[in-house]
Amino acid sequence: MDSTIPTYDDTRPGQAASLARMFYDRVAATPDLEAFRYPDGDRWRSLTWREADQTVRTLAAGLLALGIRPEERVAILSGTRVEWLEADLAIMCAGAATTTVYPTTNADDVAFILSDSGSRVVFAEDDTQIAKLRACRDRLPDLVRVVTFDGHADGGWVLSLPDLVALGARRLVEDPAAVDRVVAAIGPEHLATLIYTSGTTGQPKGVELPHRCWTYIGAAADRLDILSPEDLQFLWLPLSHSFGKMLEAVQLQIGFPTAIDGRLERIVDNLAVVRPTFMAGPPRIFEKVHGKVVQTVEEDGGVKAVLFGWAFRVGDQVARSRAAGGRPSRLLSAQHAVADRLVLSKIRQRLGGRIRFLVSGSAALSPDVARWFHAAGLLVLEGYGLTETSAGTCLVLPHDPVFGYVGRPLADTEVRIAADGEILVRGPGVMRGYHHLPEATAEVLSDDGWFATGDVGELDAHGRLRITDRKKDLIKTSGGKYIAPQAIEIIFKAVCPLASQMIVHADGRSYATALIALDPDALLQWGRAQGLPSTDYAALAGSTQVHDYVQACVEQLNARLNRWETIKKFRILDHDLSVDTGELTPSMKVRRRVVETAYAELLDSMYVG
Amino acid sequence: MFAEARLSDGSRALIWDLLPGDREAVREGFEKLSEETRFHRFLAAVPHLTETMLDHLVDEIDGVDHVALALVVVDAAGNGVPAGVARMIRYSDERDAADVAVTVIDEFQRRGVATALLGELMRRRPAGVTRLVTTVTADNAASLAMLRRLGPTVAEPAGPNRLDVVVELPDHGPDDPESDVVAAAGTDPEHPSAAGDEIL
Repeated sequence: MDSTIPTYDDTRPGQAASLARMFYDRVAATPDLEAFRYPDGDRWRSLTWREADQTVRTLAAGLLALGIRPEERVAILSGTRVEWLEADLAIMCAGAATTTVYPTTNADDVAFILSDSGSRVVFAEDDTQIAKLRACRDRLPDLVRVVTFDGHADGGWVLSLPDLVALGARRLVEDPAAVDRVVAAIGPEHLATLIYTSGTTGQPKGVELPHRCWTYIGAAADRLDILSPEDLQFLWLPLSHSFGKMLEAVQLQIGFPTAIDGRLERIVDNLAVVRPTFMAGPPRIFEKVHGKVVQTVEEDGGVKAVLFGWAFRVGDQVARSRAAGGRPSRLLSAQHAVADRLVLSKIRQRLGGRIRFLVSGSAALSPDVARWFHAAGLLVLEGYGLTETSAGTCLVLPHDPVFGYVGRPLADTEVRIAADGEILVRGPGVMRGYHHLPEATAEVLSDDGWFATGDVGELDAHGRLRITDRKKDLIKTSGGKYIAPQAIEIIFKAVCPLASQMIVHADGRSYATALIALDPDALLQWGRAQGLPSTDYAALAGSTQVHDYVQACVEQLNARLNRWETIKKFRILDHDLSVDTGELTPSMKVRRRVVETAYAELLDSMYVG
Repeated sequence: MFAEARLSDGSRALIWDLLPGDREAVREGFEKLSEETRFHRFLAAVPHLTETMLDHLVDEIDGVDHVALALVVVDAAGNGVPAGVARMIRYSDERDAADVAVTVIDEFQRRGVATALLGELMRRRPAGVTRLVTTVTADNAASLAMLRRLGPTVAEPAGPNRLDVVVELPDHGPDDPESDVVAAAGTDPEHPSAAGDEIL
């Protein structure tokens, strides 16, 4: 094997039988060490593993008291907070499986996910989420109870967290070993999580991940030797996403504490207080930090901007020479010391000053942004994985920093490139299938265990993976969320009789926008009906009346979409897509790339400011 | 004027020219397509054919630069049921190149309809056309396999999930109309997906 792969250290815990067992082992190994840190008003509070264990075990007993049986689904509909982790660990220790739902998911999709998963109990963050559940209660015959973190309980269908604790405490008095017996019976192939992922058309699909997926990810991450119990994680990303869940498994395995607060607006302040040693996130967060710093400097201008530019050039040269295995010259080192003191160290201070590395995953990170962080002495390690592979397939390692690559596969995970370039993955992290969708499963998972990712890529001579393209009609925002443009275009055409084409654009952007072309006949007819004088397409399409009408249609569309899918801005083209311009083939197939290239400036204009 | 074909399940089919009078049939046939089939046809979400589209797809067929054929499956009682449409349209700026599109109603897919239509379309192709130039989705393996069987094919990525495809056509179309139908049955070991009669 390649010498850069760390050797296995026998003192490390092996791969546990289940996530619940991992949690038990962690509590037993380091009961008095800090497990979680969470905001409470203006200050942060800490929980040891022993304290976390008490809460988790009691909540698990409460779920058992509600009649939850092995592998039955319990959903969590909440933002990222310590109660999310406690609820998830309790579900694991009750032998049940967690279904995750984003708090921003609309009521219709919530109803679909909960009914498709057959969820029996839902942890709901607050009254907003409870209202969604009440609105679709008649579609959820399997749902026996809602447990709310902050919302109002009604003593019946909706319980408070203390209500569940009371139920659990009583169960543990009656039967102190109730939870222990359940945990002992959980095997590696038992279902641990059912996470829903969107397809190009139709309803989201539930990805079935058994315990072995997460225990494998934990053990494989441990073997990379890049994290230790002395690290401190700051966790803010949505735990509904497999990326967040993966970080939970890694924490249980390695045992470092995690400071958790999912409020986006608090990230910068939190970093200064928590001073973590590592943090993971989608590219969007790194783009934001980069964008904000650059913008501030540009606005200040003058000497400061010149100094800033110089410092980053020096930082980049040093980073490059170190990455190439060299040592910077004495002059460069001296310059770097100055640049670091005056500029670069201040960037690091913004992130708390103790960061060893950052991890970017769930969408492609711009190599330029990664290089900028590297120049500031902040290594961003890019990773690759899908929900179907438990989020962890490849990772760039600190001793081999390359930009534009997503690194090599974790130990025991195989990556292969199919004849058409599609990336295939096989290993213990691969899902067992889509929930009661055998045909959809067979389409992506071969009999011998290879999962077809739908991404296209290449492996270099060192076995490092680079993602180059995609084989399915899904767009990924820089926030790591999938958007299915087809589904959005269909709704838009249904609500907007003037529409000819809508090109949804969001790839690598922080939000979705659209180019809209109108149907000439429909436009003329509409103009006449509205008494507009013009009969010219471009003039009509540019009129405020048409813009307002289309705006209203887009608002109708957005009301039916999940928040991350909504079209934040749009532009109406001055002509319908046509064969003459090459935007359509002669048989009227839309050439998306021709359109996006022709209107690149128009698209960019929707991402300014 | 029509051609006869036999599909991979043994049923009899007729292939004839699409005529201006078929406008309503085309409109109705489109309504029977699944969302996915519609998407593969236009590479965009198209819930219904608009009048503008029908003008182009029906009225502008001239049998010279724009050839369009329909395939009708003949049932046991001798009634014809429309199953698919195929067309070839010459590029106005490249006289030797044509775009190609085949649509098969979902319930008739995987029975060799597209292959039979393409075989006939090759024989009826606009004079002087030596290349097919079109775009397909990268996940549409069946269509790619069908195109590859027409001649040497180059497929290049054209953005996420899109391939620009160029097929160099042989001088003469296949002589034996049955050969296409046999291929449609998936008996060709070199093209295992040949039976995946689909849309392009």
